[in-house]
Amino acid sequence: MLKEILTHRYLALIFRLYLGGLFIYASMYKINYTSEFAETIASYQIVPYWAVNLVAVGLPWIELICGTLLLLGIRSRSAAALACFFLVLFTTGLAVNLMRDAPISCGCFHTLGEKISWRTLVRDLAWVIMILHVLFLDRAFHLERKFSLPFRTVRI
Amino acid sequence: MVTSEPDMIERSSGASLEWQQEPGPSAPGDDPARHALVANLRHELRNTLSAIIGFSEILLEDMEQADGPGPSIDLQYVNRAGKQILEVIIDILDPGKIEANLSNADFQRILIILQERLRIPLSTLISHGEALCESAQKAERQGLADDLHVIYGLAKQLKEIVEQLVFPASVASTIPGNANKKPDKAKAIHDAADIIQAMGSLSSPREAPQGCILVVDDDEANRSLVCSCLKRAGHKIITAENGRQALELLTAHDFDLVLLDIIMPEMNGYQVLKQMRNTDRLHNIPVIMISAFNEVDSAVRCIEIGAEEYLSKPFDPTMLRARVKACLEKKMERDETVRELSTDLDSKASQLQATSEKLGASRREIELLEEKTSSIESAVQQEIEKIRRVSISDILVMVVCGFILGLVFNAANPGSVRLLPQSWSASSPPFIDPDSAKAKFDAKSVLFVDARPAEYYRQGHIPGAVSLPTALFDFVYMMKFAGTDPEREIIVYGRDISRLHDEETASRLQARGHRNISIMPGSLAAWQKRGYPLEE
Repeated sequence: MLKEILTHRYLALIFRLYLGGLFIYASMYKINYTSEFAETIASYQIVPYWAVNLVAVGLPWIELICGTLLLLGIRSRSAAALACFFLVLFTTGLAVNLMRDAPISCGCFHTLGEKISWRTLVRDLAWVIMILHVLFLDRAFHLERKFSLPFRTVRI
Repeated sequence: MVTSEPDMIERSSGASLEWQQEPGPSAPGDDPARHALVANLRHELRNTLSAIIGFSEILLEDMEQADGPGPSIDLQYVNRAGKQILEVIIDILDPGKIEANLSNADFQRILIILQERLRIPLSTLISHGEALCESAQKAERQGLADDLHVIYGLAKQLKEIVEQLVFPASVASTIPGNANKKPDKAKAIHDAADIIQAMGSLSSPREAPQGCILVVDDDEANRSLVCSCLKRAGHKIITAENGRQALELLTAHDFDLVLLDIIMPEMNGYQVLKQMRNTDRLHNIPVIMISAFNEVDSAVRCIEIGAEEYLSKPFDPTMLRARVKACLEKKMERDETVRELSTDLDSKASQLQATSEKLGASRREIELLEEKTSSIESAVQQEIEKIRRVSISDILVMVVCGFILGLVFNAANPGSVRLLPQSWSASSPPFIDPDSAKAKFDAKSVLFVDARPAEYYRQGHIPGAVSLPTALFDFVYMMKFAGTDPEREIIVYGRDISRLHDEETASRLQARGHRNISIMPGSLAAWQKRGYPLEE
């Protein structure tokens, strides 16, 4: 029973919609305050100094595209894979900086947000689990399939 | 030859005895044998009478058309006598009147009565025939005389047959197949036919459809009579003496009409007609049956097998021509209809061919469309499959699109950031190694500036160092460096993988007029690694 609930496709749909919305929301602030986001990226001390600004310019838009595709169910598997990659990257960066005891803020939604902590790491890990659930179990309400299905019925 | 009635009765009884002695499959008095005998006798008499009446009518008709003087009164007598004799024969030799169980004696009596009733009209026929010949010779019309001699000859032949009625041997010879050829009669008929043909050329043929007609009759007199009659109407005539010859001719040539006698040697008329109806090529040729049988059964049988018309001998030449004309007209109408139908069929066939070609083209088009549909379906299927799996190309498209959008937005945004580090384009202050820096530290001749964010400064820094983070440079500089001598030596430190804080801060200090600035690139880590003191 528990397994059925945990592996239910509607649960995957809920996760997909939640994460899609989350990515869109997160990207909004980063797009509007690019320089602050660049500082946040730099504070993690993972990205080389010459690539920090480039990442700060491109990453929020990739997040926006990813979130939109997840929300609409278009190329959702690929979008989920990319989102998963980002979440794993963020979580890893977070873990490394936690271990370094770096006095930095998370920067997930606001530049002047909360300082990173183990709680932040757990939250990020939860998002990683959700995106993995979406990646492997998401089957419901794909807008793309709604449009592509009629082609299969066309026969001369 | 004049014979008294008692004599006839005597010969009748004698003949009765001879019949009983004749060999054959049936004994005398047996119904089928007598039926055949009566039928053949009637056939023979009617054949001869048919020729006499036919020739006389043709000559009468020609005389009327030629509008010349001639022995037409005697000819009319001959014609009338012939018809009278025919009526007597039909009356007395009627199969319905000759009862099945009639004895031979009674049958002989019937024959004698027949002889007696034919005596006067026969005499009339002979006497007027003689008169006709004489008057024709006197008028010096050789052609007509020859013609009338033929009629006279036929009349005499008829008289001989009637006189020999009570003699079975003579009667038996009249049975078809056993009949002896009569060369004199044949010659006379041939001559007469030529004469009639010659006379026929004088009169104009009536307007009628002309065709190729096959006349089939074993009796030459009838054959010639029919030929003469029809040749005058402009038809092409070919004759056959029996059924087998007729079928050979039908196979070899195209005919428009067949005049077919019923009683013939080798193959009779019924057999020929059946054979024709069973042959595709001959099936549509109209057939007029001509027979001396005046029986309804025979006519019905002919019509049932497929004959177009039935004429009984003797026939009226005008009636023959009319029926031939009607049959030919019907056949031509039928042929015309067949031609029209054939043309129509050809037209329909060509339309069908065109439609078939169009259908073929459409079919090919449909096949092409099916192929394209199949390929589209396959492409769609592949796309659907892509949805179900992670596609590197999709991810690349998303990343590239994201970067393009970001770059475009950054270019258009007033608060845009520099895409490349500022240090790449500006000249960097000189570097100083940690050991030299430590020496100056010990001499207290240098001011250390920590360029890292304040959080890192609070975690640990070189003792006496001043925090001057890049983000708060202007504010902190105003507070702590406003009165600092520009000539004082300053060592700036603080860089990591993501930021070159030291270079940035050093550049800004230079911009404020400080000329004695150097950078310790190893940052705090190199200082700490050498065991130099730190302040927390």
